[in-house]
This record gives sequence, structure tokens and C-alpha cells, in this order.
Amino acid sequence: MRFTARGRLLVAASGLLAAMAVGLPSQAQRTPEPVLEFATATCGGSGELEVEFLLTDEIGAPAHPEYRYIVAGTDVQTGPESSPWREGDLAGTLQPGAEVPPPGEGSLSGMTVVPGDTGHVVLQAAVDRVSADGSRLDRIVVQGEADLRECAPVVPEQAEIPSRVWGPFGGKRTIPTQQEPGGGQTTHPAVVRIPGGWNGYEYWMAHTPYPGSNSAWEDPNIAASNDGVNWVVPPGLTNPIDDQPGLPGPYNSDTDLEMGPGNTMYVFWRVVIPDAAQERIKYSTSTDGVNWSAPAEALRSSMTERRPLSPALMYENGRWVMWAIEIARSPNRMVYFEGGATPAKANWSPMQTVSLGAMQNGKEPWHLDVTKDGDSYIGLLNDTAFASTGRDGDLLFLYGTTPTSFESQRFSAVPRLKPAMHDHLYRATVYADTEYGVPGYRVWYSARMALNPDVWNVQQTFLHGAAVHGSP
Amino acid sequence: MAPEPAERHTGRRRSLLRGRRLSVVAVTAPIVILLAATLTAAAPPSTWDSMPGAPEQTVGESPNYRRVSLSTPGATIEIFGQLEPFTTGGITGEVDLARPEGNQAMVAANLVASSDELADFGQVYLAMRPGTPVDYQYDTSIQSIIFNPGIEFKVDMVPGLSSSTDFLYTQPIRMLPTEPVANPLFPPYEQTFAIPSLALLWEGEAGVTGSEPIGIITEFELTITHPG
Repeated sequence: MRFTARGRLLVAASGLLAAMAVGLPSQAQRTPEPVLEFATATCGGSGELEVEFLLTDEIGAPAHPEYRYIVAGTDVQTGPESSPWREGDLAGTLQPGAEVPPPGEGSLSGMTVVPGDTGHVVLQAAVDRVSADGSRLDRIVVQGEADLRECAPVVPEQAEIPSRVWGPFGGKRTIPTQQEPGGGQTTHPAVVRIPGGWNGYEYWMAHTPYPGSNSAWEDPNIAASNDGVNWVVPPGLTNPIDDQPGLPGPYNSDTDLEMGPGNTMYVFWRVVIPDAAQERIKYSTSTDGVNWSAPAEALRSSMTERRPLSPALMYENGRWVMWAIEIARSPNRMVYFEGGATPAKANWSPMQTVSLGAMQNGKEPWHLDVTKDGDSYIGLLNDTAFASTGRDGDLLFLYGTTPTSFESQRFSAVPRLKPAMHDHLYRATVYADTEYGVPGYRVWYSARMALNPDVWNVQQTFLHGAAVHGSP
Repeated sequence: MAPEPAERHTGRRRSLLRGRRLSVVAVTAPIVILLAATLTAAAPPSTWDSMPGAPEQTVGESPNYRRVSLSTPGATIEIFGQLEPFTTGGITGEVDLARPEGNQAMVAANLVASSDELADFGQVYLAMRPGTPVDYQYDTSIQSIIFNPGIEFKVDMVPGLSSSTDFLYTQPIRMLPTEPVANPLFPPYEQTFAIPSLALLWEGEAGVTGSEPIGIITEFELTITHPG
């Protein structure tokens, strides 16, 4: 592994020249400039490298309240030196317009995804030094680079194990939230892919920010993407779709996103009202992804009678159906409702228990996603340690030919542990897809590092083993 | 395979998530060191009084540290989905209080307490929540008792939940005097402290909680009664 911070070398070299020309005192008085440093590169199971750089003030740089550094732009060069530069388009906080934190107060983080055989990557950032009155004093360009070892994808044929659907832990995705527009802690991802795009984007995601497990932020948000990797808030949309104050007052959770009739997108979520001992499944609709209807109610429950959480809905054969995890009585169980042409609350049938077979020892269901794969139903069931609220969660692949009977794999489709990233798995979203021409399942899952408070993130991976069930 | 950048990022890495953890460590490390220094420098061992030849005046040499006894009528707890609140019943025990020089805020450690009666949660034991203190900022010039990283309630049962859930946790808690005084004495014998607002309660095990709270502590006060 070789790494050079060319920007720092240039700074040092220019400082040395200046010192030689006019004496050492001028070196001591030079203007400290930010440095761009390579941080890490993570090899994902799909064979891509997530390469992260940090833009920060030099170590030990003095405070400079008389001016600030503002990012003007970034460019990336991958491969040999003769390779063309392209716009940075980074994920993270290293964005045009972002201010470099003052000395000692952190850094801007930017991540680019490059092919696994890239070998060498250079990131260049143009940074404006701006005075307190807002005028630009000068512009500097800093650069960081790294040599990368090859990252090989998990070859589907090698990954295929009879009667097992599984995949590697995912690559972290930066999801803009109402709390952190540059990308924040979030959970409950629900992704819809519309081939050919819908209102400018092929992938749409509903999610609930949950920084530090603070339910005040746990409101339905919408993001969109054209590659499933880089996510933005569609221009014109202001998140959240619905805002609740959070505990001890009412709070939102458990988003699901579906396409319904009339080229209309539906976002569903759960609302808990502790003071009234009530829970509600609400929904909002949009035909452009930007303007969303006022929230309507799909289901209302008394917490003492029924507590269906993590709703997973589908518009099928002219009516809505819904799966959920019922937690009012221990052990938790997967349930199913049939509805009408709209998700309005008057339309739902009585709750039916879904057969899941045996769970993992000491585990019970917690969160859920279900979708259609040809004539079959597939899903990912997030389990939890018995009588807990999302501890030691795994993701179990579900398969069924009827909506009320599934086979559940008794092991996690994704490793629970990703070092420094997650040790508990949570709600995921899945659909059948192909990777390198081999069928499997595209997955975004949420997970947390159990700290005090927790840290949440969303990861993307691909599950192999589709041949087990004959997916497309 | 990915490169091996560890030697490069250990000192400066501050991405969103890891930055948060680093900042937690950065902020809590001085607190831990300060607390450890206070306890190790000022605190006598718990068995000090019974040690042969121990000088009696050593207790007086620790003006900013005391092990004290506490008593509480118990915590009133609402479990989500249950209509009636529940109580732990009266609890007594001991706790170390350390007051850093110049502060009025007292940091609690080594909490040991148990219920005097069997109430809604059966037998209840209180302890500090396992884990390292977290980034928890407060006004140190105001008299208070800080439980960081939180309090652990070991219970026989949680009404409405499976009996296998036997550990409940708070996040860091700050308790304020119910009757503030102008010049607080240390230790604050005969003073009563209470949580100033609702505190969320999480189920868990070994300090690791579930993903969402299962209830709220609506009332919780304790009185520092006498030396421990």
C-alpha cells in the first residue's frame, strides 16, 4: 500500500522555497491550507471499491476566524496518469459549497465508488478561501491519491450453494435525510425500481432517519437514484412527508414504498401514539415523486388489541394486500390482510396468521419486506432476540407460493457483523434481479452499531442462490 | 481485496458515522480520565474502614468523593401498550458520588440497590448500565447527579412483555435537587433528587438495548440518606 498526499507535499515544498527565499519567519507565518487525505477503500462483494477521502485542516493548524475554506468542486481521476478527469460526484459531506470545519473540529468526508481493478485513484478538490465578509480571497487546489489493490467480486457461480440464498455484507450507501442533507443515519429502507425510470429516476426509496435512535427524526423521507448507489432528494421535494414530535409523544416508523394503480407511488408508514395507546398505518401518494398527498389512514389499532408493525404492502390483482409483524402477543408472528382498491382503512379483511415454519433458536419475527417474483412471493424477514425490540437481528430469506405460507431459511442471508459498521441487522428491501447475468436478489438493508446511542446505516448488497427457487 | 489503510486514518478519520464515535470517545475520554483520577486519588477502597491500621482521617481527605446510601420510593414506569402505569416499589442501596473540583454536578458510579418489596416488576435491582460513559453534556455548575451511561433495572418481569425481558436501561440520566439550595453541601445528605423530565426505557442485555424504547420512566426520585 502506498499513499502520498500530493497536496501536502506541494504545500511543504512551497513553504520550504519561501523559507529559503525570505527566511524562516515567513514559513512560520504562511497561511495554513487544508489537506486532502485518502482515508479508506472498502472492497464490496460486487467487486467495487468504496474509496473515501477526508478534507481537513492541517494537524495543528491555528484557528483562522478571519477566513473560511469553502469547497468549490471536486474531480476524480482513476487509472494511469493519462486518464481523463471527471467530476467528483462524491457521496458524503465533501460537496461543492461545503465549509471545511475549523481546525480540530473534524473534516469533510467524500466517497467515490470505482471499479475493483482501478489500481490508482486521485481526488482533486478546489477550495476557495473566503473572508469573513464573504469575498473570495483566493482558490487553492489540493490533491490526495492512493494505490489500490484489486477488489474481486464474489463470483455468483462460486457463491451459489444449493438451497441457500445468501450474500456478502453490503456497501454503505449515503442517504440524504431531513436531518443531514449530505447523508445521515437512517433505517427502514424500502426501494422501488421502475425500469426506464419514473419522473426522472429509476430507483425510489422511502426511509426513516433515526440518528442515535432519536424518534424525533423518525419520519418518512423520500430519496431517488438512477443507479441505486448515489441517492438524492428529488428537486422540489421537502422531507419529511409527515412529521411527528417523537417520544414521549407520537412518533413515526416503518416505511414501505409501492407503485399502485394510475402510475401513482404510495408511501406507507406506521404511527405510534403512546398517550392514546393507538397505532396507525398511514399512507400518502404522489404522481411526480415531489408533491405528496396529505396523509391518509390505512389501518388503526388499539395497542392493547393489535400492534401490526413493519407493514409490507403490494397492489395485486386490483386490490391492496398487506403483510406485517404482529407484536401485541408474544411470540411475534407474521400476519396478512387483504384490502380493497385503495388502502383506506375500511377495506381490510381480518388479520390472518402467516405460516413461517421454525424460526432460529431464541428468535422471533421483527420487521419485514415482501414482494412478488413471478408467481412466487419472496421477502426478507428481520428477526430479533426473543422478547426484544430488534436485538441480534438477522435477515432471513422468505419464499412462498401463497401469501399466507412461507418457507424461512433458518440462517441470515447477510452477515450480522460488518466491522465498524453494524452488529445488528434491521429492515431490508428486496427484489429479484440479475448481477453479471446471473439471477439473484437486489437488497438494501438497514443495520445499526449498538452503541449508546446507536448508529444506523443503510447498506446495499446482492444475494446469490436464486436458482434455488428459479428466479428470472 | 481492499488496501490496508489503517495506519493512515486512525488519527484523522472523521466520516459521518465514525466521526460520531470518535467524537464520543474524544469527549468521554477526558471525563473518564477525570472520573478515574478522582476516584483513584480520592476514593478509599470500600473496605478501607475495616483494614487494619487504616488511618481514620483518610475519609476526611476525600472531600469530593463519598460512597453514600440512597433511598427511593421507586420509579413509576409506563410500558407502551399498557394502559396503567407501574411501579418498582421502594428501593434502597448505595452509590459512589464524585464531585470534580469546582463543579456542583456529581458523577455516580458503582450503584448497587434493590427493592424492599415485590411490586409490579417483582424483585428489582439497580446498577449502572454496562458500557463506557457517552458524550453527555450538562451544566456542571448546577447541583445534579449524573448517571452515565445510564441506569440498569434488573427485574423479574415486565408487565405486558415476555418474562424473558429482565434488563431495562435508561440512557444517561441527570437528576436535579427537588429543593435547590444556594450553597450545596457535599455529600448532599438528606437531599432529594429527581429526573426533571420523562426518561425513555429500553429493554436489553449486558448494556446492549433493542432498537426502540419500550416505555417511559415518568417519576423517579431518590434521597441521599447517610454515608455508605
